[in-house]
Formats: sequence, C-alpha cells, structure tokens
Amino acid sequence: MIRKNLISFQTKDSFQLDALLLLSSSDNKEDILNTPIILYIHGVLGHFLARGTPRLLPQALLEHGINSFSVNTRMAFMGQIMGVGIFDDIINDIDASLDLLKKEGFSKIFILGYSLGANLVAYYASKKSDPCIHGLILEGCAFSLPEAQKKRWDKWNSEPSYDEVYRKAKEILEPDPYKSSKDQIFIVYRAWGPTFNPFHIEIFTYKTWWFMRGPEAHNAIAYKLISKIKAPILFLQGENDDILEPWESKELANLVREAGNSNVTVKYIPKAMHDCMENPDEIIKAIVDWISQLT
Amino acid sequence: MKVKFMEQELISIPFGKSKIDALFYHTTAQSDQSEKEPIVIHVHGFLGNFLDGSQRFLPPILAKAGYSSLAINTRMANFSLFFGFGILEDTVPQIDTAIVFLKELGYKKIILSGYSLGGCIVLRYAALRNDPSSYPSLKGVIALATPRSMPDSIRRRWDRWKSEPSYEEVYKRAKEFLKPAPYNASEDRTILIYKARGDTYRPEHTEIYTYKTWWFLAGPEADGATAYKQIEKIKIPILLTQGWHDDVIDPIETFELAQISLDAGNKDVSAFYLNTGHALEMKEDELGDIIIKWLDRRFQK
Repeated sequence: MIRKNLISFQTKDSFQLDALLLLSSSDNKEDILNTPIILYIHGVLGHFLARGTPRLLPQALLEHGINSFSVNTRMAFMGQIMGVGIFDDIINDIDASLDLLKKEGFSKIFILGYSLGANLVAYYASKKSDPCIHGLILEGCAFSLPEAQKKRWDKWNSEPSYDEVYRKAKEILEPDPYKSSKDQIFIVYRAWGPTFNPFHIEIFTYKTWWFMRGPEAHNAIAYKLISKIKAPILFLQGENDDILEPWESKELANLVREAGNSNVTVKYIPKAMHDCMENPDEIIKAIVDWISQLT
Repeated sequence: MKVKFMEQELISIPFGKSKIDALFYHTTAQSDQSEKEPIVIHVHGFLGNFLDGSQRFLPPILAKAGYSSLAINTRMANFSLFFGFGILEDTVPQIDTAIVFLKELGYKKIILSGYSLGGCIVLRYAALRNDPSSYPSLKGVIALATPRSMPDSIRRRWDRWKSEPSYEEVYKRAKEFLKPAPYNASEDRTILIYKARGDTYRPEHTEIYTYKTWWFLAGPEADGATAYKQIEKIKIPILLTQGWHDDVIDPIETFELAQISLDAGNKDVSAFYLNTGHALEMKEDELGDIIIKWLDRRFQK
C-alpha cells in the first residue's frame, strides 16, 4: 500500500506550488519521519508526471523504503515560456519545500535534481548549507547551461543565433534584467536539430533566458559555484548521454573535491542516455547504495 | 505557510502507447450508503491541466455531495499547442478511453464537464457520441465559460488588439503550409502571435501555436471548436454556466448556446450566470451548488 498525497503550498514570494508526496504505508509516524525522503526537482518544461526520472524514479525508490516529495517549481510546465520561471527565484521554491518537510518532522532529507533541476539544486546548495540536507543527487548536471546552449545553437545554425538573442535581450531588459518590466516571448528555430519543425525549437522569454541560458546567467554555470557545496553529492550521468558531454559530471566532481569536499561520488549509468531511468536497475542501485551509506 | 492535503489519487489510464494522466477523486461522503452516480469527468481549459481552475476546485465540492470525479489531462493540456501535438480532434478517443475506464470500475452514468476550451471539447465529444443506443452511459454535459465559437472568439480578440500577425495572415500561411491535408501534413511550424490578448508585446498578451494546432482550434475551418455547430446535435441534458463579468468570452455567448440547443429540440437545457469573471473565481461554492442541484434533480429521483 502506497500513500500518495497531492499538496499545495506557497513560497515566501507568494508563488503557489504543487507537489506529490509519496510515502510507504506505515502506522508508525516516527518510522515514516525517520525514513529517507528525496525532494525531487524536475527538468526543462518538466513536472512531477514528466516521463522518465520525475515520473518513474520516486515510485521505484519507494519499493526500497525511500519516500519522495516531487515539487512542480515555478519553472514547471510553461514557466520559462511565460516569463515566471526565473532560474534565480527557484531558491524560494526549494526553501518552501524544505520548510514544509522540516515542519512535518522529516529528518533525513535528500534533494535530487534532474537535468535542469540538477543545476537548480547545485545553485541552491551553493547558496545555502542547510544541515537538514543529508545529500544531493545531481542527475545530468550540465557543466554550464549557457555554454551548452551556445554550443548547441551554433552546431545547428539556430535562427536567431545565440549572439543575436543576447543582443536583443540586453536591449529589451536594460538596465536591470531582473527588475525590467519589459519582456517578450521568442522562438529559436533549429535549436535542437536541423529542421524548423516544433520538436527542434526552444521557447523562452528574454528574461527567463537571461537567467538560465544567457552568458551572464552566473547561477546556471555549475562549474563556477559547485565548489561551494559542502553536502555529500552523488553525480549521475548516462553513459550514452546525448545532451551532456561525457566528462561533465566527472569534472564537476573534481572541482568539488579540490575545494575540500571529499564526500563525492560519480556514477555513470550504462545503457542510459540523458535520462538514467532508461536503466532503472542501475540508477536505483546507485541511489539506494549511496543513501544507505549516509543514513 | 498554508498547506492543504488533497485526497485525490493520481492515476494513469493506458491509451495506446501513451497514457492519460488523471486525478481520480473518489467520494467518501456516502460511506453509509452506495455512492451517488453519475461520476463527472472534468476537462481543463486553454493551456490548462487538472491542477488548475474548476477541474481542481470542483471535485472536492462535488465529493462532499456524494459525487466522484475524474479530472483528466487531455492532448491539449499544458504546452501541447506550442509543440504540435495538441490537436483538438485527438481528444475524442482519449475521452472514449476515460469513459471505458470508468465503466470498467462499475460506473454506469457519466457526465462530461469542461471549462472554456474544455467546454468546446466536451460539446464536440457529446455531438459525435450523440446516439444513446451506442453511448448509453453519457448522461449529460456541463459547459463552463464556453465560447460560442472558439475560432470566432479568437479572431475577434486578435482583431481588437491588432495582433501581429493578424488572423487573416495566419490563416493564409497555415493554408499554404499545411496543404493539401492539414491533419496529415508532415511539416509544421511554431508561431508567436503578439498582441493577441492585450495591447503589449509582453508574454501575458502573447499566444503560441503551431500552424496545425491553430488550424484545428482557432482556424475558420475548425468546426470541432465551433461550439454552436456541436451543441445543436446534443440531446442529453446540458448545463451552461458563465461569469457575468467574463472579459474573455462575451456573456451573451452562453445565452446563445442555450438558445441554439433549445431551438434544436433539446428539452433539458439550463443556463446560469455567476457574478464573477471568466475563471469563475470566488464563486467556487456557488458554482458547486448549481451543479449539485442540477445533478440531484436529474439523477437522484
């Protein structure tokens, strides 16, 4: 028997979040609160029902006694398209989620970020060293979101180009991009492949792009901030990742170790691309083993 | 922090190689007796999903009165209009599947309820499935804040704000792009319409479609989204409700839909107005009361 609860709560800046709480059924509340629980942060245009890791992993880990709290942040669904999904503001969403779990009495909290979510979690943990966080699982964390996108757009000759978008964004958002009351949606054709078809486009507003993918999106550049993280980290990356370069997780881990945090593990998941749930047995084993070492 | 624990169960209904995500709200209000029927299927509006609007707030209200609900995410949910897979006509087999799912659970009486675009979807469905001998479980339709015609409504709005590009320009390009058979066209393209919902270029005044999703939702040939052409084919009970201060859809449209249905011979058409706007905000309980009374009078005799 599994308990699933849909929960709504507010951040301190009054953003309404939805989350899915999955708990193994136990009559003993103390047992539940002492069981490891993972706070999940989804990827680009994601949510807690998105295919792959967000949808499948919580349920799979529950069978190994690990509970979950999957949050739809302000970047969920169309956040980046409609202008509300500002990368830096995610700190409020994770704060509110952790506050809720702590208030309920959960004592063994981990955070898992998937893809974009991994970069969001890395940013959060570099700013906040909350002792309630037992560890971070960063699945498919990009070395740098801005640089990865520039490289990809250049590869496919995107229309408009990265530099054109940057110029336009500066013009629209000046002088202060965060406070700017001006914003506009734009489409980038050939962002993911060689055609103009919808599955090769990307859509942002200038403001969401600026803070997630622009050259000045400093909080989305993981290699610049990862060394500030003091919590244990498990990096996960598919061996056949088609979005990240094979070295990205390894290099991020090296930066963390060089900064004095030795509690870092890197696991490349065989037979998996960007979504490690393409090999569920391996990712589940990696997470279960790592969490059991820490609890 | 305000925390609200919901009791809905998240489910996935198999649909071909895909699935339909849904929130199933099983009432416990009738624990000492048998559960009331019908059960209500809720369909979201434009860019919506089962986590927002009436499909979120109505199920708990109905459950208190003994009615269970299933709020579904159709092909039109979230950003599907932007990426080409949100074709209105494709929601019909999804609703078929949701109904079969409920029948397999033992429900015999089903009501379809849709909000805004969802209203167009449920009217389209009920018009296509209007033979009671073939579809005996479909017992009624609730259309909330539903436009008389989605294409006309969008065209009027775009004209009003002088959208860029204009409705005519998009139509011309879509025809050219999707010919000869829009549904089977292999090429598609995402488009932005600035000043579609207001007089600025800001995101909240912008709409996004692909030519194909636009064609079947907003194009002049989108009969499936033209509610007045659908409602006249429906002979089961219909409840229409709209906010009197709706600034998205003219309040007269609910009246007109009701009149068309009555003129076409439907003997059980009801229309109500609430003192609120398009989202029916702040009138959730009142709307719930209207629906509960409407259900009770027809199905609890």
